[in-house]
Amino acid sequence: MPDLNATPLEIVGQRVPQVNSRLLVTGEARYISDTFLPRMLVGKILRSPHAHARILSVDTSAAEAMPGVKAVITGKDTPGIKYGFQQNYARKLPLESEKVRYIGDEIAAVAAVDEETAMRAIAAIKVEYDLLPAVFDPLEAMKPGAPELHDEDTNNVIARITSKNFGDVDKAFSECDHVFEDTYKTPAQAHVCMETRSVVAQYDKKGRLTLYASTQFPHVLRDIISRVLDMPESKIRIIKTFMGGGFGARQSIDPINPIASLLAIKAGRPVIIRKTREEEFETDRTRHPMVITIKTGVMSDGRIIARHMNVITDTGAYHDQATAVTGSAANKISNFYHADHVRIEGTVVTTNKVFGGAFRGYGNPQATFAIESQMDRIAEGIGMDRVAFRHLNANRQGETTVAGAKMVHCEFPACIEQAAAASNWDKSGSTQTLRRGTGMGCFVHTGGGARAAHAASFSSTLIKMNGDGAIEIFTGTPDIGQGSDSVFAQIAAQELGVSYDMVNVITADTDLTPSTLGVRGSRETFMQGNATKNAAHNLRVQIMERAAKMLQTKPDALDMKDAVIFVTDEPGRTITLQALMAPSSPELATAFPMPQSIVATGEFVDTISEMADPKTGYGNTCPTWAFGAQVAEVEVDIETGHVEVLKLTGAYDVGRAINPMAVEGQMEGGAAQGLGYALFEDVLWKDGRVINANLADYKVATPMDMPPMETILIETIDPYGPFGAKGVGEAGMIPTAAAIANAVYDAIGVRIMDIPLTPERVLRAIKEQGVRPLTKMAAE
Amino acid sequence: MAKMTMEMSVNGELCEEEAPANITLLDFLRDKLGFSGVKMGCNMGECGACTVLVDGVSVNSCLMLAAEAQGKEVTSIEGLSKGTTLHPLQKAFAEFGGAQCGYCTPGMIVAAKAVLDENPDPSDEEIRFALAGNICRCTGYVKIVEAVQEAAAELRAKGGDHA
Repeated sequence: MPDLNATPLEIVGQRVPQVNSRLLVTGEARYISDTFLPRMLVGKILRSPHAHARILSVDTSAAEAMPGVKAVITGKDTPGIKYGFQQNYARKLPLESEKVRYIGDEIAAVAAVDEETAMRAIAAIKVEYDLLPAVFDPLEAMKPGAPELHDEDTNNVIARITSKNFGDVDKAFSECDHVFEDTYKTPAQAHVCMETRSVVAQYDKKGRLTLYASTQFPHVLRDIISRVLDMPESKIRIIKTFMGGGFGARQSIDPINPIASLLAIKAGRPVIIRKTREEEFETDRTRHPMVITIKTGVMSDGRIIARHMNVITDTGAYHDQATAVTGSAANKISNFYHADHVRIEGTVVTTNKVFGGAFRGYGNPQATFAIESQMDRIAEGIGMDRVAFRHLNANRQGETTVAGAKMVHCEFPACIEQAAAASNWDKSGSTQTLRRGTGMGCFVHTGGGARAAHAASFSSTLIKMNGDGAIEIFTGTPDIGQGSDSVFAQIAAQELGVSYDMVNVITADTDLTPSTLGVRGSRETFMQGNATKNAAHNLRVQIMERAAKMLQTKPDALDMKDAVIFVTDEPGRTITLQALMAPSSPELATAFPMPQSIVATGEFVDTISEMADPKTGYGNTCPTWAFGAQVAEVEVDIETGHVEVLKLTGAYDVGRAINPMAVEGQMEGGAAQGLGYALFEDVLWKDGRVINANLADYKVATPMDMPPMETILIETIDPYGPFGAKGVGEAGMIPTAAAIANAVYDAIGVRIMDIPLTPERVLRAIKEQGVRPLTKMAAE
Repeated sequence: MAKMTMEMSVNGELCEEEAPANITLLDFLRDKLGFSGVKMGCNMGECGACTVLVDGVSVNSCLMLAAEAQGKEVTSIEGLSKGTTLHPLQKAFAEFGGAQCGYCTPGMIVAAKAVLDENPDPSDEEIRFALAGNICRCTGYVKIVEAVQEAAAELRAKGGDHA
């Protein structure tokens, strides 16, 4: 691997604060919910109280007659165009007019002068329903005769990933020494962005619609709004303000966006819609619950030979991106550990519940909980050390998997070694009641952005230098808290030779910034970072050409540091950026006429490895892969079933960290979401109604739940990443549930196949399986 | 709803404003006075995004009526910095990565100020316990605890918080 120390950098690699940190810590950062426009109305949505019903009639006359109500809309006010992130499975209308399919489905909306009036107006709308039988369990939903949600589908199966075979799977299984087969279940997890989903819509007299939206991809949102409202893209502007979290939630097009737009158009006044916390739990996307069956064939020496993974995804009432998520989950069975024979299958099923969407890891936390739980079962079954078994089978640098995935850059074995070495494995400190154990969970994930539906994955950046030498970057990739604005500023400053604080980043306004695919699949640093580096390079070329004229030399004889350009061989011959842009005398200004700013662009198109074949699935779904290993040390109270995590250690292959502090922050924050996923996060339904729709009943990790964390960054140079960096925003949360579940097994000898590991579930499993006796060594 | 005149000191300035008698302190600060740094996360006292100090005590402003703060001193995040000079907690949160999306940050910093006002030299465990009512979905809290410790050290060196 190229040595990082061979190429030390001044700005890239430094622990600099976020470019907007002073706004964040003073309360000055303006979020959607802080957007106050003149004469702005408040929008509210009438939602279905039934899990499944036909709409017979909607009577809005009483609401319309109420003073203070400025617009009322129903399905009749929409063009009736169904949409979804994956348009080939589009099933959702902004407002349903024929049928509702979950408790919370949108039927009508109002805009009124204040919230109270809007809520009274919503209550005054009369809807007649014809109730239909509903189905909530995906396995039940697939049975013939189950209530059906969509006319387009049979047995509620909205999509299938038909059996993809690599190698000779059946023959390989028949030749293995041991075959293990297990089924794991994972819950619906809520994103719980601290700012609930909000939008402000404004429609002006030029016929242009402006949305201030919580969005991870403003240009895609513009595209979908254009389609749903049947309005030209040129008439739509999307502005992302500061955002109170994303985590994939804002990679979905929620109906509030078209609804607020239609209300603003009808009322002729700006409209804000803010979901309440309860509404967010009841109606926003979740992580898809999955039922995952894995069959693995191994030889007695520990080599994995054959694997088969079958994923059943519960997408809820509609399809946002469940098929892509299912594919992402299923692919991990071959990208992760070496196996020469692999079969992948998936089924996406609709049920009468709130629907799923993208969530940090995109199916991978589900898949990794299953794969890594089974890795421990296999190691124990064949009498091999758990860490050594992983190390033996880990995919390695330069390898191409049987499914065609190229391990462009891979420090996976080092991650396993270093996470294991930094952890305590001896169970010391256990008592009769409190049992200690240690478990590992590893992961592989895209390290540079997922490729979009077999089309070119691209990013572009616009860069401008002003008359005073200050740099402005224009990028369509939103900073959602992950710190991408700062990464771009570091990359540009490093490439140009100016200081970090000279760079201003303007993000995610579709009128100002070049088109991009947005924040998804950990693509910001790798894809947009490369585009930004190229833009900065192109700007630097122009700067040097002008400086060469003024210094009467050749551009390649020049270098720049701290915004001073100098002749490399004669460091005394210099010119500052300010002097370059604003010549100090009329003579110089006449001799070197110059615009007040210099503009350049940079593109990056991912052509790094073979694209995945849409038919066979062979090839690469992303340009590079990131790897890691986490180790959890836990203490299980066998009387209460409570699991306490004592320490989390992670070692991560991140390429070069552009900002190590920010990378650690992603890993630590990811692990906190992973810990919640492992232990308590679970959206619960009764007869289709979410019964824990608040932060008292749906628990997320507090400071008291989080253990000390040791985060080890294994930094080497990815050959295609900007300055060698990989994208790692999702990574931290992927392996935590598996690491904790494996540690619980290590502590008490009880294997639980479904998460979260709530005290009730742990106690039940203890009752069924019995606690492993306390060894003498552990009690010491 | 009947209206009443709310009188209180907010960030050192006397405020007098008419508002519905049932308005929460959160809505009063945000909607009537424009202190939009005070955030709404759950409206039921579970997340801490709306934390402010009332007579030095940290409260969830979503659970308190503005009327209950009559005649009292309210401090929100906006009251911590002086001009462009940041409070040591704000500086540490910025420099140590204690804020990512920043939405929980105002409440978190105000809650941390209440911690340090009472205990200038807390252990990590004491900080975690005192901030247990403030949820951050981004950071995993490691860098928040680091930032509070850093600010505590700076405040001790300065001989206390006179902000």
